[in-house]
Amino acid sequence: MSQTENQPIYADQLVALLEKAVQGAWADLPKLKGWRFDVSEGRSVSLSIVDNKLGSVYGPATARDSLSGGLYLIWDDEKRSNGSIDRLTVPEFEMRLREWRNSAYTDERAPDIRQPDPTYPVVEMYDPQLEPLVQGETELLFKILQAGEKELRGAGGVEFLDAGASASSSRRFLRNSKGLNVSYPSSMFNYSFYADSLYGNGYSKRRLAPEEELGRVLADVREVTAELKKTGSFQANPTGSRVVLDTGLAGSFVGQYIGGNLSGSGVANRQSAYSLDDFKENKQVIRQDISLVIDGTRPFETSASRVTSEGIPGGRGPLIERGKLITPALDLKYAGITGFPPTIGGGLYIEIDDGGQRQSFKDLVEQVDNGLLIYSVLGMHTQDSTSGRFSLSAPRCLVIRDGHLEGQIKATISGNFFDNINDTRTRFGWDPHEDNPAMEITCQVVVEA
Amino acid sequence: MTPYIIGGPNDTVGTEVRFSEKETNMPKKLRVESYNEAVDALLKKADELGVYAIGRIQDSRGRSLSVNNGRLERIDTGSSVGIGVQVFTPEGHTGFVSSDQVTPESCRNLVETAARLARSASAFGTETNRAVFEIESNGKQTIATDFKTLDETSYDEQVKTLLGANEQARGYGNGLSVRSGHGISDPHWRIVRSDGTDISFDTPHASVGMSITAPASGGKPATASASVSGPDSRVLLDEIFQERLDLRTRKAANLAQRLVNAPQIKGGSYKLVIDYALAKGLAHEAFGHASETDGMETSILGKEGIMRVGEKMAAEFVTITDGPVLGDYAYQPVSANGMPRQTVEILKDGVLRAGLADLFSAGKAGVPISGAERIESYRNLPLPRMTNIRITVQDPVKFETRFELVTPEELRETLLANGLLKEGEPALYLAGYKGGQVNPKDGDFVFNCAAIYDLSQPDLPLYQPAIFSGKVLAALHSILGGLGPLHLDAMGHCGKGGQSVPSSGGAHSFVVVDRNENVTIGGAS
Repeated sequence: MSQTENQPIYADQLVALLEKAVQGAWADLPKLKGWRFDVSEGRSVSLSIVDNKLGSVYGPATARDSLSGGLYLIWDDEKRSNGSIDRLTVPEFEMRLREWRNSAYTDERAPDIRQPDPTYPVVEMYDPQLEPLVQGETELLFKILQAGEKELRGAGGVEFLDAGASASSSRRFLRNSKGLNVSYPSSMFNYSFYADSLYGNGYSKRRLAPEEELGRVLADVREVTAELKKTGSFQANPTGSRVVLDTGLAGSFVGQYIGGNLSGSGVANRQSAYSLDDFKENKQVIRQDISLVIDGTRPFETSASRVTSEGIPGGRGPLIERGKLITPALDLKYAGITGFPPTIGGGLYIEIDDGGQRQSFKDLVEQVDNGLLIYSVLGMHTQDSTSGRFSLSAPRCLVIRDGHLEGQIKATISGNFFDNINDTRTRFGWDPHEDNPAMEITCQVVVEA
Repeated sequence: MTPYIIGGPNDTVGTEVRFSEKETNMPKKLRVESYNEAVDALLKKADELGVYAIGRIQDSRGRSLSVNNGRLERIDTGSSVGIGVQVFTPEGHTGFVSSDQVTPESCRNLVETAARLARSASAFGTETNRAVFEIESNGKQTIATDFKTLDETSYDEQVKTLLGANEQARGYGNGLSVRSGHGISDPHWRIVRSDGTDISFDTPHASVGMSITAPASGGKPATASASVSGPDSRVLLDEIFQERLDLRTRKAANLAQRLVNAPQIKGGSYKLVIDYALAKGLAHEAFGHASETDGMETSILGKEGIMRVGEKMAAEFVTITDGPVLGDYAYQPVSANGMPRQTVEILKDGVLRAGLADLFSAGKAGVPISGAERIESYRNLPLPRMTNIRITVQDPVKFETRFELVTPEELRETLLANGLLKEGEPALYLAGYKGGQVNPKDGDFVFNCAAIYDLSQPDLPLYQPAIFSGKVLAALHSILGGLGPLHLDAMGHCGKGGQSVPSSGGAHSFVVVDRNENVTIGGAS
């Protein structure tokens, strides 16, 4: 791998070539008026277990090197170009420049190059302990997967195990023609285990996992999988059944139906459930104890962000506060169109004003007298987020009776998530190892044969 | 040049599209053919190290345009070049590396790294596979299409036409919001192996899509979509495609407006009539994935790792076929391991006949290699997967009306007239495919439709889309028949193994599925 911490050679070469285009070095092309690029160079290593087979042809020990990114140009005649950057962009610059010119287009609402901000938050995103692993000392990946194999297949009664472990390290270079020059390293470390196609869990952060984390993840996979192998029975309530969405699934619902309607382009173009006026009037759209926050400041989280590719500094801010719309999620173009400030980079988090009485996930389940606990559904990507309606298959639901888990059934669930997130009956429960809460909603359930 | 039909050989009722490859000297030069020195270095290094190597070079270029409510939103161009190298030790241990540098020096380094990974993995008891040592060379070949290249496609014409289509769609209702997208991708591939195989090919594909959102007006906003696909920019610029897209867009616009206030269907098991796009979804999700041999140890179509070839899986008039169709959105003539892609009758006359089999798992599954391996990019490892999958039935009911012009009323009348529906019988017509998902290990599948019509009522009330879920074998056994000609252009993307590759397929215009307790429509209790 050619990337090292203090060697931004490629980015410097690209800057020099773009500045030549600004000076008009290619006489038959218009000069560049402004430019911006965001490129990352790095390496990743990975290893998998596929259908019980460690390191097979479908998941061998793997190393990948890459350099990739995107570029935005403003020409002298105000036309714009969007292009990709790869290893050949520098050696083939003149040819690429001509291609970018050929694809240049007029967009009177397109943004200018942003002036650099005085500061960018320094969020921890790089763990140097991962570097030896990424550079080839891959023994840890084997050990993690072998531990999972021993714990789940050996002692846990799992028949078929799929698992993966990976690590990566890269350096990002963000530059623009107005002097933006941000460069920093980042890393990732992941592992996950999926048992008998029933249930999976894992670890995914920007730093090496604490040793005890693996034991916790494996115990969770073993216990939940065992529950999902028991047969249960359930009588759906025709007026709506109580359904607990596990933390990951609740996050998917919020992302699909709430996050999916906060896109600046969708709002401005009337392709969202929410209109621009709704934001200007701070319309109440969800229950007043619920907020939705963009947060890029959490150290070593996958959502950590110092700056977006357009140069907007990272940070933390609400999109929905106490149930009221605050701002759509906006890039520079749609910030200009809507009149709201551009949105910081980061992950989407749910916050609940519970007066300091945060209910645990365990308590949430124990308070359900007759309902279902669902970890995963099939078909979320096929749903229409603008209507809020959902109709999903849940091939493995755990029956909850008087607060206890009593085997699994197959069901379809349907309803409207906009109604659910406004419903006073909807409750939340927190797992200390997860960033977002589980949700208990009321929806239609059809038990399948 | 021999013209061919993308809509299928029987698609002769107005929706047929014929592509004549343009009159130039064939085959065209593929960009990947310029990497001879890198290829030589790769194979020589593998030989020196005593390992078998497969190199996969990709040189991909693409262009996409988007228009939103009459305004050009953006144009993106992209290019990507790289190589993936998979090596096998004589014992069958394997390692994989990829890089975006395709030079002799980088290739030598890649082989060294991959060999080191494979050898170090052996210490941990990793799975071995020696299938590569048992195949013969497929020689040196170039299999090039000659569709319009990106260099031959005018940006101005694309922008003007897409703006026009968007404007036209906005006129199909009050307050409609329309997002239009057009993408073209032109990947060139070269697969080389230590046994002398050196095959170059291209897989061009293009599409145009319309997403139409109807305003709430008392209900909740609703979105419906329409698309066409093919190999190049003609999907946008050719009059035949323009007309087809326009008919589909009108239908989608009408549907989005009606869905705003449509009620929810009562959930349960019904007799179902599905259109060809949904039937492609059924074939893809409910059967195709289960027939991929890499998962045969856990697939419902396998028993102790062996494919259940010879077993009856559906009525004797049902056949399911997968194979490449030139000009199709998912066309691929050669596998990612350099094996020729076969057209496979997976299910023939209701009996399981063959699998979608890759080099590494075909033998274990007890079926011949069919060259089914595909990859999203040079960074990925090959997996067996579908290209164009279709369900056909013997003696389908003749239904001449052009698919885009069929109304639910006409469909109901045809079903009644041909004994596929009885007056008042509970039955639903599911229209428009919105994607699906499957767990091949236990046979659970789902897919979603764009709309539901109640065929038991003469006025055919419209209901909200609902998930269609079930068990693979139950759904296949319940197919009662088909109506109309074959259509093979239901396009999508398949996300198996985290890799997104183009997929397509189809069926007769409509397929009838009998009521089955193991096939359920989600809805109200």
